[in-house]
Amino acid sequence: MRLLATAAALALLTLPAKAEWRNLDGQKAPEIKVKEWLNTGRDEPDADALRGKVWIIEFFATW
Amino acid sequence: MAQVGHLTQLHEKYYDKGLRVIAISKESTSLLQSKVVDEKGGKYWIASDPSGEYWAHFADGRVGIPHTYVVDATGKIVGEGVPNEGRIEELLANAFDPALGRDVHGMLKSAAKFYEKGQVGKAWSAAERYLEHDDREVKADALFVRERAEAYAAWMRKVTEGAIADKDYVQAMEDLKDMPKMFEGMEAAAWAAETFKTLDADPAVDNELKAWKDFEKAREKELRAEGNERKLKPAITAYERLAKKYPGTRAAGLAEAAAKRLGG
Repeated sequence: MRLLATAAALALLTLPAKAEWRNLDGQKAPEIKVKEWLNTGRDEPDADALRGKVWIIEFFATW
Repeated sequence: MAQVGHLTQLHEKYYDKGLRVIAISKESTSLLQSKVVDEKGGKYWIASDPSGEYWAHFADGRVGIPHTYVVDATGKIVGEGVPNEGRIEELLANAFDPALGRDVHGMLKSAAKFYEKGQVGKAWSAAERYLEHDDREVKADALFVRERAEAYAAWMRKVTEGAIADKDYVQAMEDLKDMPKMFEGMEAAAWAAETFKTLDADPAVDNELKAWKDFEKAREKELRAEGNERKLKPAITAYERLAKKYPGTRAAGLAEAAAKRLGG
């Protein structure tokens, strides 16, 4: 039991804190292609509308 | 959902600075409409992508949701992970405030300050007199500031030229209006002032800008109808009218698509 607890504690230490967030000097984001949009106004959320913009994209579910 | 509220906050705080917030789910548009837009008041872009195809492009399905990416103005992914408000805001602050990216010699501090305040042209001019300085370090830093400023101006010009080529005159005119002050004394400033004048006198541009105004009005009508079929009629009419009035414009294309989407 104690061994198990130590192993669990070690695992917590070695995993980057819940692997939560990392900053990258990353690759190009793939061009957006989805089935259907909500809340689109003057800007359609395509490559045009995102040119020169900072954007954040979240993949989520409502449950 | 905590992160949905968080996205609304980011959207409101940074939209005018140039942030675009996008949320993508595999769920249906009707569910997203009721759970995110109606219940939570989400005003950012929301997409339903049941196949999860775009998600697969981004993450190869390696990670669970929710998962967020921050993309900078050059289209590069600069951060990713489980949504973390503090870290995201930190990244955004970096992405919006131009930074030189390294320390420079004390003699170039005023140039660096200008640059960080977005007065890129002033930084460029302030660095000029140190280009032939005896101290090699000062000289190298002066050259570095000049190059960063020139690269920034070139990038901004490229972005704006792209907008013009795509007839996105709303965006282009906004950029062109900002550039002369931002790049004061540099070639890009003269180019922007000249291009603004040319576009401002172009009837096709004027037509496009007017069409956008009508598009926004029609769009407001659509939003106010809140999906009520009877109330949507005026929105459809407005879209159709503008498509007819401004044929060949970008706004007309979008208006036609919107009218069709609403069943006109």
